[in-house]
Amino acid sequence: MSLSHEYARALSQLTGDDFQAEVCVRLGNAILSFQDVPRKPYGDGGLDGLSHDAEHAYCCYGPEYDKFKAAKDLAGDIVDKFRSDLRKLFELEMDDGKIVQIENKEIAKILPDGTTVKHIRLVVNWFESHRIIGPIGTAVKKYRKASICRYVDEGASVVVWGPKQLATLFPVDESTILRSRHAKFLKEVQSAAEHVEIENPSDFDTKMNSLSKICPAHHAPAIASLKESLLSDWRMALAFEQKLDGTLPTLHKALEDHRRRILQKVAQLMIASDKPWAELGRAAEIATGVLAPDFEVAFGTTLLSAISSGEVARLIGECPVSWEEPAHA
Amino acid sequence: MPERAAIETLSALLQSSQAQPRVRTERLVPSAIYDLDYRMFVIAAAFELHAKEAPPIRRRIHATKLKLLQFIAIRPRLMSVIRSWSAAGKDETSFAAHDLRRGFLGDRTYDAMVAFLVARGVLEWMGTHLAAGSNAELLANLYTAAVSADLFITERRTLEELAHVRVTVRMLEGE
Repeated sequence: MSLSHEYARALSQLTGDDFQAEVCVRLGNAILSFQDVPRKPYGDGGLDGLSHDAEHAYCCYGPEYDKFKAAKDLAGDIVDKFRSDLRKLFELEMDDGKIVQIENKEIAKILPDGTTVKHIRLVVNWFESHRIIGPIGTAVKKYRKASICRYVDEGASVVVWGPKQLATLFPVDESTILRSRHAKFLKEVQSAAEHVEIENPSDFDTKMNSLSKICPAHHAPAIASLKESLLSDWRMALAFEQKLDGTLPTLHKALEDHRRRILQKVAQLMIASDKPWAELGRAAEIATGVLAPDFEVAFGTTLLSAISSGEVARLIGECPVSWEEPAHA
Repeated sequence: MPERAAIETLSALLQSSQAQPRVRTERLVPSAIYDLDYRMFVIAAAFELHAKEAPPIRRRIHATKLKLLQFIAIRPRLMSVIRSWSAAGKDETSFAAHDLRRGFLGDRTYDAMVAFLVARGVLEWMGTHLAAGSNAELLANLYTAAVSADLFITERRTLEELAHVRVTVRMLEGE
């Protein structure tokens, strides 16, 4: 299998934000002038990226495959999503079946003054049907007529790119493939974490209740939210461990050994310090340092960071690191 | 604004509350997967439940099958994966099947355990198979003791369920 073929396959397995993130990294590496458009906090105005002095615009879509029973449903959904993106760029809206002009305030803040988009690339994780092209082309014709075209050039080209196009248009190397695999693995672990059940969290609950007792009452919402975050990180650590255990037993053994080393390091720092809780705050950093040699290359920095937080949450959850009320309380 | 990590929030709360730290390293429980006694039981159970009589030689089992069975017995969550893999026949497009094969073939603790059992005369290599050795009663005794004490119910139940899953030579050795 060629590298570009393998990359196209890896891309086709990414969905949602993971797909968009990978497309933006890919385009950022391949096109010097590529500019990612952050969605938060004001929305992306229909644009996920820009390049060539903002004259080239990129819209991404990575539908979740299991939502569709048949290929035609998936194709229909892709067409609908891109028509919606295009309407935003053309500043149009559907109102009772009619197309009406609106104002896209955000796009004015994204594009440089006086710039109109001349090429639009619609990038999707599944492009196995030519039936996507016709409806989009028809929509573009309609939108050109209906719009005052403040931000899109009247002659703007609109092209759909699927994984194959994205893989073959620019060179692919091993790091590109590794990056897309990391994203897929991370998603699998995150998805598994949602279904992980923590057996007997009663010690953890007791500990968090004790924290509520010793902290002033106004910290209660923060403690409740903290508890949820720690549980979520803990589940992530368990899901990662299960994944390793079932698929990469050698690395599972390494994780098991590293967990003990993390606890030893954190414990040593806490015992030696006159501010032990400040040392606990550095625990995730310590965990990253311990885990990185075995896990960073294999799983990427994003997952490494999540595993590190998860392992520390696990130390709290499973109680090797605990606390008691202060003597004067 | 980037979110503050949970552990940093906890650290700040504990610091301000002047809570007393307690570090109990003994609470870090090692995984049973690396407990050799436990692993010996799982191999014993897999052998007792799945090895077949092959006259004139003693009971035997395909060594890779034993490796696969004991791997799943310890991880019952993989039952659905082995079922789909078995049902898929030659069509191995499932990533889960690929992952499972990589997982069980990489089980080094099992390899070490089998090497020990062979050296102890409990099992004996016969080409691609492992047969009962001259001290094979150790496995039978271990299995019987666990059954009468009602131990390792999940592992035993998983191994019993695995008897209804067709494991082909292609799954174990490839084409």
